[in-house]
Amino acid sequence: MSNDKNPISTVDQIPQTTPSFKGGVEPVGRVNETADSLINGPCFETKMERISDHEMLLNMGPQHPSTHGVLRVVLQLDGEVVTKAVPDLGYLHRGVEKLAEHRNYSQFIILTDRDDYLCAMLNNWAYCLAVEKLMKVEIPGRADYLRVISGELNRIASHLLFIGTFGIDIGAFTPFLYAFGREREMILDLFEQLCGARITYNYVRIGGVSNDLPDGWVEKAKSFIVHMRECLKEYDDLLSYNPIFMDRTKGVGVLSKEKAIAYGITGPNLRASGVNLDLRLQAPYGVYSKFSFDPVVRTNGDCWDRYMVRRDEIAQSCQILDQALGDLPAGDIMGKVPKANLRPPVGESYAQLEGARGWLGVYLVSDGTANPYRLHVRAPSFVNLAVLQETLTGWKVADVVAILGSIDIVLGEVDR
Amino acid sequence: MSVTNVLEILQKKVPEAVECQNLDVKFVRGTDPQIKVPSVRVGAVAGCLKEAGFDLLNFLTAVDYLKEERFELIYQFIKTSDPAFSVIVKTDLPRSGSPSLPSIVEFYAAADWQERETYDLFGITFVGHPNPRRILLWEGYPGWPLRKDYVHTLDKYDNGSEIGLP
Repeated sequence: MSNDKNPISTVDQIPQTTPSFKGGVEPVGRVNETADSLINGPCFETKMERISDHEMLLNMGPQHPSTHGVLRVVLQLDGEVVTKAVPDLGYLHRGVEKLAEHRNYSQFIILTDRDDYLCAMLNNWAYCLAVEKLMKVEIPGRADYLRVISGELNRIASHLLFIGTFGIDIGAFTPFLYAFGREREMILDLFEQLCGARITYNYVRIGGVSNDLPDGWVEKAKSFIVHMRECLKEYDDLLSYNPIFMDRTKGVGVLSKEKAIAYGITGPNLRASGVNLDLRLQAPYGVYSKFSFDPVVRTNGDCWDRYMVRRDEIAQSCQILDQALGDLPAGDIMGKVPKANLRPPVGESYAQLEGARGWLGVYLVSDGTANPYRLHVRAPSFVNLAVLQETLTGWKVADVVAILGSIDIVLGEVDR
Repeated sequence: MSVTNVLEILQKKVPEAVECQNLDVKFVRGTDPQIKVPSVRVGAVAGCLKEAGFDLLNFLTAVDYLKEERFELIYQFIKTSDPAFSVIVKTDLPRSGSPSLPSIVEFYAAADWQERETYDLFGITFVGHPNPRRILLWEGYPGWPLRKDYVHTLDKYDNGSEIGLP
C-alpha cells in the first residue's frame, strides 16, 4: 500500500485538533470530583470503590456475562442495595445510520442484519417496509406469507435464546442446553435451507424475498411446530414453575403500566405490564390481518411476567405459523422493483413492525438519489433500556441481573 | 380522530401550528399526519398532546438539511389505545451557532435517552434536559457524526499498522 493514500504512519502523527467541528456546543471534558461525577467518569475496572462512609461504587460490565454483550452499568451501592444505577452504552456503536448514507438502498439490507442479530429477519423486514412505503411498491401475496413465516420463526428463535440466557442469569443452566442448543438450532437449520445463512439472513428484499421455499421445507417446518409445542411443557417443568426461579423473579423489578408507557416501552415488556398492545393485532401490517391469534398480556409487570409473556408468545407464533403454512398461496416472490439503481421519490416514510423486543421502526428520508439521505432506526432495545436507570434503584445486586435479563436487550441494537 | 382534530386541539395552545402537507406538496409524506411548529413551542406542543391522550412518544430524531441551512426535528406521538393513528410533529432549527430547543423529558420520559442520542450525533442541545451528556459516543468525541459536513478524523485504526495490516 502506498503511503500517499494514508499519510499517517505512526500514532504520534494523528492530528490532535478536531477539524470537523463546526458550530454546535463544544464537548465538555470530564471532571472527577464528586461521587456523582465519578459515576460518569472513566473508571473501567470491575472493582469495588469506596466513595463515602457507607456507599460503594461497582462497575458491572462491559465484560460481564450477564450484561448480554457490552453494556456497562455503574452501580452505587449501600451495602447490597442499589441506590443509583447509571447505564453506559456505546461499546458496540458502529454508526449504522451514517453508514446507510453511503450505501444504496439494496446494500443497506445486510447492515440491518447486524442491528438485532438475534432477530435479523424482522430487521430486514422493517427496513424493506419503509422503502416499499416510500416507493409505493405492491409486493406479491406469497412473499408476504414468506415474510410472516420467516419472521415468526425468527421471533421464536429469539425468545428461545431469551429463555435460555435468562435461565443462566438466574442460575439455571440446563434449560439453555435445550432452548438454545436444540430447538433454536432446528430453526437455524430451517433458515439455512431457506436462504443459506443461519444468523444474518439478508432474506427479505425490497419488493419481496430472495428465495422461494425448497422442496419439503413446509413439512419440516410443520413438524418443528409440533415439536416446539411439546417442548414448551418441558420448559415449564424445567424453568417456568421452578420454585427457585419463581422466588428470584416473582415480584422483582416491577414496572408499572404508567411508567412503561412514559418510557416508550413496547413489545413483550409492555404487555407484561398489562397493556394489550401488539401491532400485529391493533395495526396489522403485511398479511397479519388474515390470521386470528390470541393476544398475550400479563398484569404484574415483574420479571416472571416478562418471562412468561415471551414463553406464551412462542405458542402464539406457532398459532400464526400453523395458519400461514396452511394457506400459503402460490405465485411470485418478488414484486416489480428495479434490480439496480433504485431511486425512490423525494420524500420520507416511517414504517414499524412488532419486533421480538418491541416496535422496530425505520424512518427514511430520500432526496431522490440512489442513497438514503437519512435513515433512523427506532431500536426497541435502546428505548426499553432507558427504564433501567430507574428500575434498578432499591433492588439488590443479585436482582440487577434478573431485571436486566428480563428486559431482553441486544447490544447490537442498543448501540447500532 | 383525524389530523384536523389534532390540529384544532393544538392550535388552541400553539396558534402557529400548521399541517406539513400544505408546505411542499411535491414531498411524499406517507400516511401519517404531520404538523409543523416553531422550535420554541415544542414543550407546549408535547404537553398539549399528552393531555389530548397521546401517551406514548414513539421516537424522536433529527435530519440535517445542509443546503437549506437547517435541522429538522421529528417527533412521533401515538395513543396506546389506537396505535394505528399517530401524529408526527416537526420543527426547524437554524444550523448556525449552537442549535437548541426545549426538552420534553418532563412530559415523556422516553425522550430522555433519545434526546441524548440526538445531542450526541447532531450536537443539538435540549434545554432543560436532566442529564445532557453524550450517550453512544464518549465525552470529547470530535464533532457530531450525523451532520452532513462531518469529516472523519483519522486515528490509529485508519492506518491499520496498529492491528498488523501492511
